[in-house]
Amino acid sequence: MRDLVAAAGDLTVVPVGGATQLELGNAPSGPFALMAAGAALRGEVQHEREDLTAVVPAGVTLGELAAILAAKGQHLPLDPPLAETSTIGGVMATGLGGPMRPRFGAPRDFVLGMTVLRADGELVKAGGRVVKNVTGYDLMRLWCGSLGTLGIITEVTVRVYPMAPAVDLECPVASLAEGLELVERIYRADVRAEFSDILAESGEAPALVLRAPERAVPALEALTGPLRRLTPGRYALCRDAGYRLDDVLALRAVTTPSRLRALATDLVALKPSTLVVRPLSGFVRAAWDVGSAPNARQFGGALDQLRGATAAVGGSVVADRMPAGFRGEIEAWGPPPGSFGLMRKLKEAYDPAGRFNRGRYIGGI
Amino acid sequence: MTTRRELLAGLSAIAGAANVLWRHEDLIVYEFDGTIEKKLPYAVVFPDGAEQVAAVVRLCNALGFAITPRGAGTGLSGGAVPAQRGVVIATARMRRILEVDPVDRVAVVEPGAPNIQLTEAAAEHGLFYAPDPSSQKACTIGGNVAENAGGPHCLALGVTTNHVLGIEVVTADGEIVWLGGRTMDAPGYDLRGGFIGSEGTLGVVTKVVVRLLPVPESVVTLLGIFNSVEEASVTVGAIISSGLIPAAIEMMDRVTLQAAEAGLQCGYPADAGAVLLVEFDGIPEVIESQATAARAACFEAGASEVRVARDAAERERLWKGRKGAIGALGRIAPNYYILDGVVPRSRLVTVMAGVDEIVSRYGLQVANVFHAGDGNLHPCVVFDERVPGTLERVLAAGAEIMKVCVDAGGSLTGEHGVGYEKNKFMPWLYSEVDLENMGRIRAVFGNHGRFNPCKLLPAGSGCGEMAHNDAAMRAAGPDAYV
Repeated sequence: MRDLVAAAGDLTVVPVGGATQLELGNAPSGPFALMAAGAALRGEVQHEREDLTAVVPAGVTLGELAAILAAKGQHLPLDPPLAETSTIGGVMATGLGGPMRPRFGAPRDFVLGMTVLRADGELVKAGGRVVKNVTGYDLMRLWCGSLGTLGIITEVTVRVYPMAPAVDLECPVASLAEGLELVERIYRADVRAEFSDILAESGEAPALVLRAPERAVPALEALTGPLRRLTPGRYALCRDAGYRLDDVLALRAVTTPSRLRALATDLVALKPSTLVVRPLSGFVRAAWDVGSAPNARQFGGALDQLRGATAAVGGSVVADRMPAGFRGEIEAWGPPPGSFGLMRKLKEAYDPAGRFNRGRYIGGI
Repeated sequence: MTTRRELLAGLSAIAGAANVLWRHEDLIVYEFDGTIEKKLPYAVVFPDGAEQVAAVVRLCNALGFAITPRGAGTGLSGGAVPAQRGVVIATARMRRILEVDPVDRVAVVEPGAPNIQLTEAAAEHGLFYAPDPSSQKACTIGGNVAENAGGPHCLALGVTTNHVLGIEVVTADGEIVWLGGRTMDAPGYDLRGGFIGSEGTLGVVTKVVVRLLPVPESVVTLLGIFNSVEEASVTVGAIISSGLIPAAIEMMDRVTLQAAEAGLQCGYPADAGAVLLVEFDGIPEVIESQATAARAACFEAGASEVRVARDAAERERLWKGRKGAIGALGRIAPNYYILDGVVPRSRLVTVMAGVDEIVSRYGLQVANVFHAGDGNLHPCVVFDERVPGTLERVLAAGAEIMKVCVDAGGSLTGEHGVGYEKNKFMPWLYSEVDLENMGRIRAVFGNHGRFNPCKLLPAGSGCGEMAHNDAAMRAAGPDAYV
């Protein structure tokens, strides 16, 4: 790894894990070299069943990890887009969550310890291997979601969970508003669904899609009416929409629960081919295929308007996929927050020369 | 050179003379926290909000005085002890709950608000704030953020960092800035996550936005009664590996049980070797089967009895004993020293035996009351400080216990923080490069050595005046960092 970084010379290093999120963020500023971090960081997973932990080399994919954990009845309920081929290092670096985010947390919430290759070639670690630990600064949370701009993740220790038997279910809802209302009622009734998304595909009625323990199904149906087993593939749609090959344009937005309905409604007006609403984390993702995508001017205008509407509560709208032609005109991350000065200082403290992913991250970091 | 008179005049100009303490008899209340070390500050100031905090920080920086932030002073690692004297910024005047929003399920609070007040304010909306340190009746939200505090119910729900969406802070160089906000997962570095648990070394928290959760639909609380700590430890492993994640699993040993029962009359069996307090919450359909499985696991490991709390009052009583247990130890001896090690759950039995061996070798008595589900031990050494030489033995035993935890693959602290008490042990876990790497975050926030100095990382010169800490280090032997 060190050699790979050194070999890049003056080029900006763009670390690549499972290559599922290469389009994330802005284009690197200046000449760059892709670095196959995923391939270089393979190795054995140390799974401690009784401790509910696993030490995972960064190049291991979530698909491979799931198989290892499942052999002992456990799992990592972290289901980012395209999980099977995503590497754990890449998932932590991008910080993207999935349908189970509201219940189990964002990628950073699973991390107990981490080792990172710093731009100057030093390997540094933070955290440890136990499930509760406040020893030292929590650098793991800074590294997670930093898109490799502070260092390249080489090893991750995660907390894992026992697999609990559960069923995937769905029911049609008359409108997004009704779906939101149902998710709220289920949540307040303390029926702990492992996920509860609203999925709307163009030309179809929206559906409430959820996973819950078998014993909770009667309590759920008392709130929702009859539920049917989820058609295979629909869960993957909630998880992956926006990142599939034919999603030429995609955005994700986060706001407060009370503003979610308005945000989702604004997005419906843009006629995405797929819309996923994750009410309990105030999250929406919209994806467009070639046939449905607006042009750059329309999309840019809509982004500005959505960003304006969510800014007041600190929300965000990120364009995760854009046709190449949009990139010159549209900023992927949106305006940086008030703490951007500190973010810039952080980058300078850990990668002063801008060796890693220069220009790709928020505010051109 | 600046005189203390100039400092006091500057502080009074910012916060008002009535909100600055400087007489010796006033200051001695602020020389310690929940630990053993003491140091007298030059002044204590009580700002009313971020603007005044920022002004105080800039004044102290300009005059070259150290700053130590302080909540309720209940901390258990020396975080609020003003190690290099200087100025204590106390958050006691910033204690309002500014907003409880039942729709977005968030609350906005000032740092000096006690933890319990937040849950009380949320309760009228059927909501609660999850992290529940045992000191929750006194400890402040700002202090909880600084220490990334936990509590018994963190097993299922996570610690402070999992429940704080945003914080307004005054950085160590006096800038007011929001980290995070009212929403989840904003793009950009998670500075909020980097600040939480930084033990008051990066700045002072001046507002906190927390997530609130719905009060569980129903709760089952079990009390498993065992002949030994070992039986109870085996049960913890069995429950966790069977796939259950209870809301809490707390262990108390015989010494703790007897003290808690004598002091608080909570219905514990005084003749048992250990008890486990196991709780499940959720809808009855789900938790009843979980409770049945946990009960079976208790009996399988040798429990003599498993009681189920019949009503909220009985549940409350069982928890009262647990949360008041440390205080009740005062019946055994006038002083206690509580440790906070974490070990992998699979090593609980071995490490507990190691703890026993160490304390008996030092001729001391230990009470164990801890978050067994997380492997988060709290061996509590009870002693009488007035007996010459005892304190030194206690600290030496404490250092050895920490070493046993680290050697078992664990860590130095699960929820109390490193502070001033364990910063010298950090090299047991991290290399010099790791520690230097962590230290860089201080400069990012403008801390160049005078903001809560001598805490969290191994300290440099000017921090060696606390004799107690040095005694512990000597006892820790040749592996100790020098």
